[in-house]
Amino acid sequence: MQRSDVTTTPVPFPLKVTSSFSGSAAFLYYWHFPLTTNLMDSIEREVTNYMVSTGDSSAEASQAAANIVQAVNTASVQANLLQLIQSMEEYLTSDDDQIRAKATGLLSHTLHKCDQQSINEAAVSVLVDFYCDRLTDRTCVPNLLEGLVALTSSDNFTGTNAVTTATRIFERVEIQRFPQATRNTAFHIFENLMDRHLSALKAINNEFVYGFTQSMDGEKDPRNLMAAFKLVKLIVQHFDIGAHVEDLFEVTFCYFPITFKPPPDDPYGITADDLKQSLRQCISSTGLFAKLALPLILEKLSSTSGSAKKDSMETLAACAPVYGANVLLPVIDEIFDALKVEVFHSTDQALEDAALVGIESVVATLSAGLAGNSGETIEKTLKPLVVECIANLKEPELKNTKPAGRILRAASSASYAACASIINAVVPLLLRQYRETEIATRRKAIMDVILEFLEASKSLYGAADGDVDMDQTEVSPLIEYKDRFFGIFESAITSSNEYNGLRLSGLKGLELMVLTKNFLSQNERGIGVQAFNKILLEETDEELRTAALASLKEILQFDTKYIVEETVPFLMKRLPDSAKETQQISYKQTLTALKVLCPEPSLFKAAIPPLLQKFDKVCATDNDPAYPCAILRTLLSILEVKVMEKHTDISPCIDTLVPHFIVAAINASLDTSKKQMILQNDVLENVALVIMIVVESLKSDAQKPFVDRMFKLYLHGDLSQLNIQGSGFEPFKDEPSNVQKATTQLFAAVVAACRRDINFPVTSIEDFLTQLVDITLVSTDEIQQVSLVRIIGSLINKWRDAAATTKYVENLAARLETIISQNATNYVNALNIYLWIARALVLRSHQLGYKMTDTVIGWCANPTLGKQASKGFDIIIGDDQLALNKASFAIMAILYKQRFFTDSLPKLVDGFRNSPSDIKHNYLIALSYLLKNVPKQILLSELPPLVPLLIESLPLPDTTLKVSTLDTFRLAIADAPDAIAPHVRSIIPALLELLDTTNQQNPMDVRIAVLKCLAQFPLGLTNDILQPHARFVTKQLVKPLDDRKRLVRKEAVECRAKWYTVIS
Amino acid sequence: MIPMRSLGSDIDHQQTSYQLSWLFLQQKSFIFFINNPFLFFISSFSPQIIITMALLNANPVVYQTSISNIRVETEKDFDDDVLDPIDSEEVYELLRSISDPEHPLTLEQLNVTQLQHISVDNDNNHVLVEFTPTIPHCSMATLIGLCIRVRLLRSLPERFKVDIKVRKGTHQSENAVNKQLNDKERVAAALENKHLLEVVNQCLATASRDAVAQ
Repeated sequence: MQRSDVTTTPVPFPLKVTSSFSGSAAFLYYWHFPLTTNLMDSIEREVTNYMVSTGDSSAEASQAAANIVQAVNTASVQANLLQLIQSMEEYLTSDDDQIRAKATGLLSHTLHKCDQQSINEAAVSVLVDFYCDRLTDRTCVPNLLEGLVALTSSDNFTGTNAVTTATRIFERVEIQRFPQATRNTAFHIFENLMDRHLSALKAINNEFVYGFTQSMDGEKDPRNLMAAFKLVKLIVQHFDIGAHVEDLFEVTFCYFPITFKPPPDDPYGITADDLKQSLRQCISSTGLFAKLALPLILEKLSSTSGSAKKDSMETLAACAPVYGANVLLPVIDEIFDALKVEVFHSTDQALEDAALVGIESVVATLSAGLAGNSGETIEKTLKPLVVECIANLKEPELKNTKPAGRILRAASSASYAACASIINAVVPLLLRQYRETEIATRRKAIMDVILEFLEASKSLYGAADGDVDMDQTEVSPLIEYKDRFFGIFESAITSSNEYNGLRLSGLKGLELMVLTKNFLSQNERGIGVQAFNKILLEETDEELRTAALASLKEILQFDTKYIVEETVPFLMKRLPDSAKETQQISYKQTLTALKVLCPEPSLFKAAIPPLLQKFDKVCATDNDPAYPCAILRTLLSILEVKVMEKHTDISPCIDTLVPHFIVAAINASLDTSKKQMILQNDVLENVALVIMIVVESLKSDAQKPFVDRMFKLYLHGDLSQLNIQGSGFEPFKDEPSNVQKATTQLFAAVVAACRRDINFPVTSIEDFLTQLVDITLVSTDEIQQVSLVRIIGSLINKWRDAAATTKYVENLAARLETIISQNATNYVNALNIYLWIARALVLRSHQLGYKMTDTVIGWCANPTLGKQASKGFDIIIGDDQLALNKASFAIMAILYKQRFFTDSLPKLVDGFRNSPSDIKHNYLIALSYLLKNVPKQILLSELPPLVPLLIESLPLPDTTLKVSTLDTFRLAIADAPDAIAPHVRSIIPALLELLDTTNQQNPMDVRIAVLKCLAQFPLGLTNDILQPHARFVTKQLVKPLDDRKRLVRKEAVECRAKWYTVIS
Repeated sequence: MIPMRSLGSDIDHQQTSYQLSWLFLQQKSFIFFINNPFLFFISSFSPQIIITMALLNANPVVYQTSISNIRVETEKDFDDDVLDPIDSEEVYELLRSISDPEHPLTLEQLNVTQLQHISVDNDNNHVLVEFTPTIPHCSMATLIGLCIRVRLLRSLPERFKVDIKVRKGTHQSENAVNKQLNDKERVAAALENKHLLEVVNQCLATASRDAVAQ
């Protein structure tokens, strides 16, 4: 019944829409789906609701609009839309402008939100006609354009529609007379049209181009300009603008140069740079603009505003290649004059760089344009520029050599022809000048210009490791001067020690020559490398060494031959056999050199065997662990770099490096005749880290056999596994004098580094764990103890059988708790095991771990246990290098630290509040360790209530804890000043108290931490909070100015200077 | 911009006004305020103008600073039981990174302060700093001296008596500058002036380690 209604009553569209009447028949024809009365009523009701509500963004209006969209999207969108239009008939035809606009707005809104794809082509056409016809109705235009955006985004919007829409908008809407939002909508429509219906629009080419220029003429809003510039670029690319070049140019270029400063709160997120760049893309989009734009750009080059000048230079650089040589040639002198002034009288590095980019771009364009003629023309064009640079190079004052060099580099980087012509003109002159002077600074200045040429030649003719497809036939014109350069650079490097600048330039020169493609022969490269070697072997100056190392590292990228054959062996030879041998170049410097170079696979291979030999020798002769540790740390850092760079040659070390160390350690432990260097804790720990990094790099199937061998070796004393001669290897035997115990650390390293799926060669994990626990409980060797608990922790953390884990740990925990609470002699061992198990479980967020932590918190109240228990928080939640970390495949639940923190924090705070004063500090210790190990973000959010507690903890004697608490404060002042501000009055005296040097509990690292913390106040907090304390603090800080330690005084000076800024 | 010439009579003026300032010293009157050479040019020009005026020596020689004379930390430095006496190198460290009021360069880069021209006598609690103005008629000498004075006031223990002097023969009004810098009252009076203090603080802003690290 409703349907018949619909078909017999055409929708009476308002305002002379006669033309769309014929359309509406078709419109209605397609819309013949039955509607449920229910839906219809609801639409009608909501339309009324919408129309009676105030405005179009009030709560009621939005609600009604949302309901309508929902109703329309139910079942057939097309039919529902019709129903909607019918319901709105009375409003759409109203005589009241506001009502008409509001109703149109509702329709447009619905078109936006409804499922557009289900409106078919015919319906879209009808709607488009309907919308376009009404564009003369000024009040409704904003709403109509909104609707057109929706329609133009539809897939069923055709090319014909596009042409209609564009024509009608140009015809009927004066876009610039509408507010910003409406103009933006219009640009959005154009964008949609061009994105989707380019070919259809080309049919009305001139009309469209002209229409568009009209609609953007006078635009001022940055958001709209961004859209408009984008469209201009598209138009230039896709349309024939021949008829309207000037129009289009005028409406775009009028914005140049852009001076735009975003409003203070930057609501649009558009920067001046965004605008500049998109305008630049328009200006440089076609050569047709050249004649119009170039004079204007040139004029702006001499602008007094730095930003306009920079913009002009950048625009020139972008336009030059598009505009072409023929346009540039007549004004080339002017261009060069303007650009070189910027370099010679540079006030701002950015401007200078822009000018240089401009020069390069212009010269490249000229070269490309003139290439057809002859090289002579480019030479002639460049002549004035080159002549001026030469004049500057000749001046005895060094002031302008640098800018002249930079200009020449920019110009010669541009093309082969330019490069050859400039180099032939300038380099002989430079060489002569170099010969004629003896003054080091002058020589350096000349050499730096030569370096500029080498850089230019390198960028033009390719770097030695660069693309292979670069033109191979072209050879750098510098090659002619190769030998002279060699002479100059080498003599500079070996020159007197007085002036590093000269020597550094020499090094740079050699590096550039080596790095330029096809420049040096293999042999000559060797000579270059030798020069760098010489620096590393003979120079103590860090600046030179660093430069030489950096150069070698660059060279390594493509040629390792000489570095493998010469550099590495020479460096090895320089390493002393004992730290007691004094040498000009310290072993630390040589090791640094190796550390930088050796991650490279070929060097790694060459360096490792001699380095191991050196390590053995040093262990045999030295009695200070510093040197062997330094060697190990070098090795470690090389391996770490290799891991980071994903090298594949770490795994083979399992057969070389790792057995070497283990064998050395075991042999040493079997020989009880003397004290063994390798068994010292520091050395062994570094060895363990090296072993771990190698084992971690192995896949499971490679780990397994090695692990099996290690188990046989350690559990059964089977020395044949590593071909060790001898017998009696029983590291787990409980004997007070057993030095073999220390080697447990290496076993622990291997076990801890295993992947999760490794099956250990033991009959049952439970029995193995029990065995380890038993050994640990009786062990008196500290290294062995920590090594064993690391193994226990790793095993429990990676144990796959969850049920078995729970069962075993419950039993073991009970057993340990008994030992601990009875205060048996070995309760410390038991507690250690307990803490590591807790750690292993907390890491995987296992419930049992939390239960065990609660027990530990309970122990904090125990007068005898309390101290160790509270320190245990460092074990439970701290990070450990040697086990249970990410690299060693530990199971770590995400955010386990956060979870642990929120769980235990209230318990510790509670414990603190409710315990007697003599054990209170145990909770503070636990708390501080907790805070130390928690990620910064959580720390800061939880900090405010803890600040008073932390202030109370400052007088506690533990110094590491003090430093950590002070660091926490420092962090908080920087990142959460609001948490600290209320407590300034109590913190400052507490901090100043710690500066007392007579108190043994305030060692220098505490004093330094205090001063760093105090220095943070003026940076983090506002002056009005600090002002009342400033005079007091500066007065108190007089004392640390006379501290006995220089490093403390340094911080005091720093800190006091900061507080003085508060006073003034 | 005020051409540099306008300052030509400045130095003579300072000489005479300096004598006047003695007369009014006790009264601490407004006239003293004007006649104090520190305040004289500060109160007559805004800090911006000082910078433009300073183009007196627009193109100073810049000395390359060497990283080698930065003290290398040894293990002893970290041993709390070893006493480190204050030495000239430490005082030099305090001064080297102060900015020159006219150039964006440090006193070290301009060779205004040099290590060998600083002496520290710990037993008699005496420090002597001699500095070399970039040019003999440098109108900024007093201001540079004041910056050094303030830096040391803030950074050295109170037990030291600090003398700050222009190196002999490097400035045409050497005596006047020296007297100015070592007169407690005048230094104090100078620092009462907000403008001047601001300029001094700006020069000292680069003196701290953070600035050096940049």
